[in-house]
Amino acid sequence: MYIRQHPLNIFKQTISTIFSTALFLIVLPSFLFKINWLSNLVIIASICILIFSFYCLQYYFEYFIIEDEQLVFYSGIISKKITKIPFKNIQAIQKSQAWYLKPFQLVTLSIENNTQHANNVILPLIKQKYALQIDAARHQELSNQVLKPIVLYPNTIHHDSTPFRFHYQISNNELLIYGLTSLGIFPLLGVVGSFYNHISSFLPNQLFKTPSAKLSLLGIIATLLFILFFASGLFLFKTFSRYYHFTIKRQKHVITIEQGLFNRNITHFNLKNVQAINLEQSLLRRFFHLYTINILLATNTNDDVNNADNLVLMPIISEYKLAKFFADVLPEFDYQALKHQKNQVYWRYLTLSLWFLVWLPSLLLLWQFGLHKLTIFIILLDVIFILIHAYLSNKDLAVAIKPQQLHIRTTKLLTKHIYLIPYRHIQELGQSESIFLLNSLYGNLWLDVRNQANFTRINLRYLQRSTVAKIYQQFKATTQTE
Amino acid sequence: MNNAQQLPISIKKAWLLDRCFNILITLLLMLISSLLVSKFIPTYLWLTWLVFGLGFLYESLTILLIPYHYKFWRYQITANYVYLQSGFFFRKHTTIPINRVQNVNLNQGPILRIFKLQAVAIVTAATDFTIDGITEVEANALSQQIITTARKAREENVYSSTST
Repeated sequence: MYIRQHPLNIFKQTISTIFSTALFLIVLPSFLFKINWLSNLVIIASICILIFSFYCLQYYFEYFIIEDEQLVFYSGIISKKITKIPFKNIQAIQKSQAWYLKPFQLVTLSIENNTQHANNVILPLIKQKYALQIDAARHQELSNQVLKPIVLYPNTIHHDSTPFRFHYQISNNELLIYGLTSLGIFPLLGVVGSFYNHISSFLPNQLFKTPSAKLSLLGIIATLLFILFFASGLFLFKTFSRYYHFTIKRQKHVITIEQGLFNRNITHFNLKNVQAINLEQSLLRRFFHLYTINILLATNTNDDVNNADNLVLMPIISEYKLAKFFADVLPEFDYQALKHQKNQVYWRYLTLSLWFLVWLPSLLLLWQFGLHKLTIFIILLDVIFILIHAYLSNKDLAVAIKPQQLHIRTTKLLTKHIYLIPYRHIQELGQSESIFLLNSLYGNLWLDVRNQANFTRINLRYLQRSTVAKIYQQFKATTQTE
Repeated sequence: MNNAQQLPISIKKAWLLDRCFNILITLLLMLISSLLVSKFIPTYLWLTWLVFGLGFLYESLTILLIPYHYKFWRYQITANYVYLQSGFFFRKHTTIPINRVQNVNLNQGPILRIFKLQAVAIVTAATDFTIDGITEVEANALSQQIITTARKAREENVYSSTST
């Protein structure tokens, strides 16, 4: 049976659209066409009729069918779309009812599917009995299902019977190292540097008023140092206010992260939602053997501090403490430092990195303005970047194929990434390569892992074909026996 | 992918119509922008022509590439996997385990409707992959096949894991 939204929704949507675009509707026609008020009124009325007609059409073309095992939602006026959602896959059903709709017993349903990247399916103003029917069908489907016991990872070291407790708080010293080794200072340097002309007013006048060239040079150095210290101070303050008293607690399978100075932020997540672990090491932190541990999750954490794509589990940790940290906090993940692999694809990476030269013609503009030294400096910087990028990409590339987990080390824009991915969380994988690579010993591989509302694609370039085949084999073997 | 299937031949006409339509829109936008730019900021008229000229070239190229896309676009659905393959000079293979498929969406725009074709979007928890257009009958059968196989695969997994 086709079920449509209530006709009241046509009027509700029309009024809501007209109100939300009221200013636009009133001002724009008179501004564009310079016409009298009567014509303006006619134009406004025509637009309102058009909006109403649109919602009438939407009413006609949008409907859904409740089948035994799935909900089929038809939408689209010009471009038709059929969305089939098995009741099993429904993650959550959100019901909302405005006060004025209570007498009509109408509700709006928002159905959250398993696929976070797709929008929720919205069923606006449907009769309450249908909402109950959908809810009942979902519950029935779930109760029919034989519940799978939650097994986090097959290589679990700690038994569930022993209550798992862990508590760790970051020290101020560690936070200071994190701030000092963070590259986030550079954008701030730019911002503070843009006030260069005003900085001289904060420094002693003697530095600038002396006609001696030596002292004016001193003035410039003092200004630059001031910029550096001020930007560093600002960045350290930002770091401290974000990660102040950063605490990780683990109780059984729930991890709680607390952080923040002014705004104390608490994030909870269940380990069964962890899709993969990412260890990140910037170029600067390589010298200090420091890592940041990120988590790729299957659920949205609503963490207001996760400005990056990943949820930060540990802002900073020494390379030498990683094994103990994993044993203490995440024993479900089999962490072992990857051995150095003798790769011989430096020249391939170098050829690929030449794409970073593409933007160089834009420097012609700088050259035309007479900034020759700056132009040469930028070109040299780009060439050095390419050489280092190719070197690190070749050096870091490593894969360890474990029975249940894939261990990957790769480099992206000079930042080293280590991923620990259980095969069961690889959503799909594939190969992408040009015709020139076909007959070589090497192949490219990519794999997708869900990460909160989006996904992370991990690209592995110039892997040995035998390794690619082994990964495929292990992945297929694991997916079939899951 | 020895038993991979090609898309129906009518998809070529659908692609052609779609891309011609895109060219028309580009030309229309170029005309409107040129009129506005020549009236308000005539010095930047060359930039408008450059941007839309490149757009026009790109759209024209996609028309020329239709036979190439058609020849090398293939798909295969087995009991456990969905395989997609495209390109010759730049080859791309995708393997989607059927038990990762969350749902299958069928889309039919006006152009596809003319040729009685439907686009099939295979949605996993991470992203989605689209088979550009197959016949309506095939699309319905395919979506049912994928959903049934995915459900069966999950149920088998559930039973096998609880019995061990």
